[in-house]
Amino acid sequence: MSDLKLNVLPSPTWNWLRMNDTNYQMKSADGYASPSSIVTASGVSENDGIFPADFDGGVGHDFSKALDQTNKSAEVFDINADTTDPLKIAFKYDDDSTLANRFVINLAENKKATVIMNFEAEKSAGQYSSQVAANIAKGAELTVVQIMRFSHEATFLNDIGTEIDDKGKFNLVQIVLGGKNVFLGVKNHMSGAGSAIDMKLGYYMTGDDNLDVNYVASHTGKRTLSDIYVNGVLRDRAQKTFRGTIDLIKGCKGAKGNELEDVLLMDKPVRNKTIPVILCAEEDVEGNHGATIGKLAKDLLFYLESRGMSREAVYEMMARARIDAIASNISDEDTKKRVGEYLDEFRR
Amino acid sequence: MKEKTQVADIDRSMYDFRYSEDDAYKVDEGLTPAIVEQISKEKNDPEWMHDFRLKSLEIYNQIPVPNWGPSIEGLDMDNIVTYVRPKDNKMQNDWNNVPTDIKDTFEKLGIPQAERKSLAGVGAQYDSELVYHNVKDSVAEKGVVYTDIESALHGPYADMIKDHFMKLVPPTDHKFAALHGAVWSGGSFVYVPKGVHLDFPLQSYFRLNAKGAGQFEHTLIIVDDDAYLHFIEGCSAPKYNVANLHAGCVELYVGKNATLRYSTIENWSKNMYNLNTKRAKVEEGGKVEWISGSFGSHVSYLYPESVLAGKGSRSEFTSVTFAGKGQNLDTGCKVVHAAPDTSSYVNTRSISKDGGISTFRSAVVISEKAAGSKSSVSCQSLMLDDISRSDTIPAMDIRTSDADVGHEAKIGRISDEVVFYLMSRGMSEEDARALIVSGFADNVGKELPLEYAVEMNNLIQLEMKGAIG
Repeated sequence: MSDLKLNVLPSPTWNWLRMNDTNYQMKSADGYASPSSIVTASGVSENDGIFPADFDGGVGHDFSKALDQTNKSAEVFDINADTTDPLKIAFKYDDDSTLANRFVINLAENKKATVIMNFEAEKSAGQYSSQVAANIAKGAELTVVQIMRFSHEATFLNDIGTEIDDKGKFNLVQIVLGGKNVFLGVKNHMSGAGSAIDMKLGYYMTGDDNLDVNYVASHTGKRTLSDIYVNGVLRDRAQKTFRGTIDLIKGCKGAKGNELEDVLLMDKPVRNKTIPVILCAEEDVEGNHGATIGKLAKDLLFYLESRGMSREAVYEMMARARIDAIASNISDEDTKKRVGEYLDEFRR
Repeated sequence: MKEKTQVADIDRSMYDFRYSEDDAYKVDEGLTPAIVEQISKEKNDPEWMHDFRLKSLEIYNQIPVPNWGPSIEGLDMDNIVTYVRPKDNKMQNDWNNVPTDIKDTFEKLGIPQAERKSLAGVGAQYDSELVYHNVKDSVAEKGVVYTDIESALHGPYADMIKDHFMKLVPPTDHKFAALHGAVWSGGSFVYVPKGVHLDFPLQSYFRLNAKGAGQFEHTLIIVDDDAYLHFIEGCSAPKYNVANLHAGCVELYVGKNATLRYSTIENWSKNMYNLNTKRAKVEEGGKVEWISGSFGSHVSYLYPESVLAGKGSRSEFTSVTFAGKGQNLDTGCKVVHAAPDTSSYVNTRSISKDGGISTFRSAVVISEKAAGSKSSVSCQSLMLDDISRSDTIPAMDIRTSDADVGHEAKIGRISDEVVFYLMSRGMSEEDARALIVSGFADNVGKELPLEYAVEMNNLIQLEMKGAIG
């Protein structure tokens, strides 16, 4: 067991809020999980390699160190051609073990690729981890889609770090459906001029689920762009913490960062923590943040109930609509369908 | 060659005069039980206050300095004099009897003129002691109490002071609240009885003249049910090359359906560590309105807090912060919604220039008991050059589904398009930029009485210069 500080806020605030980081007692990994399926794409080569020692992801250094203790290796995907079909990796965790997988994705100059990762532990109660280091070369565009479906007993730690060169782009779609403790951390190093990120997160947490997120857009390159959109639903006694930081570092002239969060609170005992941070050390930049947190509008609820829907059905429809809105950004139809199936089964 | 348009720093010359404090009574530098005992003796504290001070000192020694805000490494308590009593000090209620140096100081700052014009009462603190307090007869006749807090400790309101003093801001709150509890001196006590509506504001002005000293005034205001009060505080100090410290404490109790507007124009000198604590508790249907302009200080930690304790209570927080060269101003607010149907509105502006650092920090907490509550937070920051810094760190902790919370933040520079538009209407670029910056800070200016809005504009003095080549 290691006592870790996870999802550390880049600029801390009052300790009494308990939002600067999250303490977690992490079990040492027993090993790595074998994918339940891999669909490779043309132009992608897969090799065993070493995970970068200087990796800087969103979940934080404590997590990397803890994984280093048991496994420094990684599956390395070198993508040297445009891929028409996505690379798909799926994990189905069937037992309550403690597993960790690390990946390196190297996308060559001016290439375009999509990687779809599916993590599923619908019945098991283990602790599972994934860490992705993505290197996006000049003019390249990498899209990563991660679907996470976890039981009320499972814990998942999911860490991503990107290095983005000139005019490179990173698109991320993450969908989280449940989990006792789900930690998501993404840190983007936009050092290349004109590089961009577009991150979208949809979540639906129920029961006593807990979601803990730390997104960081680190703008060092000129004219860099970041867009972060988070849309989620909390039901029952679920909890969520969202930390989103746009860091406009001196020298990133012409950079722009936008962050938007919508949270739908459906049952009284839920708890939502949000801390959207903008750090700015440059004049010629723009940073924007907006958040709306609240319940369903009474008028909407009244209208739908007057049309014969039960309150529960209205809630489910609105929750689903939010996840669908994020899932609509996924181009792979099979994956979209899978999200739909997860949602069909979700509250049964 | 295009020369960048410059926004000049605030002209502080009108505040940078000083008088010798050689004849003043002072305690030794540093913070020890003996010094706290000495202050307590000087103040003729009742026994409970004497014990309270010593307990606070113990707490101070146990609490670490904050690990999240601007550095306060330049503040060494071993070099701070925590109590300075001006010579010939005796609290006066006739302006003519105030010692000449002190009178000159406040005349230069315009305090008596302000009183003559439009105030219901005035208090003036010089270093650690109140030197003048006066309240208009018509106001006193309504039962309004406005006095120095030391007098109140021994008079008919002694029990009221004991029941409320540092109950909202306990010494355990943070290190500098504990420091305040140990060495506080001066400040005002205001009581507005039930149903009394004061048409004119009360004002306190705090002046720290002594080099290397601290000012620790305590302001306690109780606005009873259905009453109304506007209270204004101003503060300034001459600049020295050693650190000065301000660790005041403001506790506001707002009764049922009462309203308290608390306005502050803070213009401490740029060697000042301003570690001030302000908190209001608002009962059912009551409202607190904070208006805050922060212009001075070397380092500021300032976050007025509203505790919305009664059903339907409200808070509004409107502020502007201007951080120039050598300044690190960490300002913002906290709102705790602790009762149903409460609402809060936060509207702030920050300006950073010439290497100044401005941080907006806020916390909105909506508790399980606060069903039906609403909160809206808007913070905007303006960067006037690329050597400055501006951060926004707003936190929201929502513990019930029956709440509506909105937040928006924006950081940017002066829009070229807007400057272009104004220039196309015949303005020079300098005038256009000055107009935009003044308008940006207008959220506070328009909430202040006219005289104070003018003072604020004088403070900003955004003198634009630069040639467009």
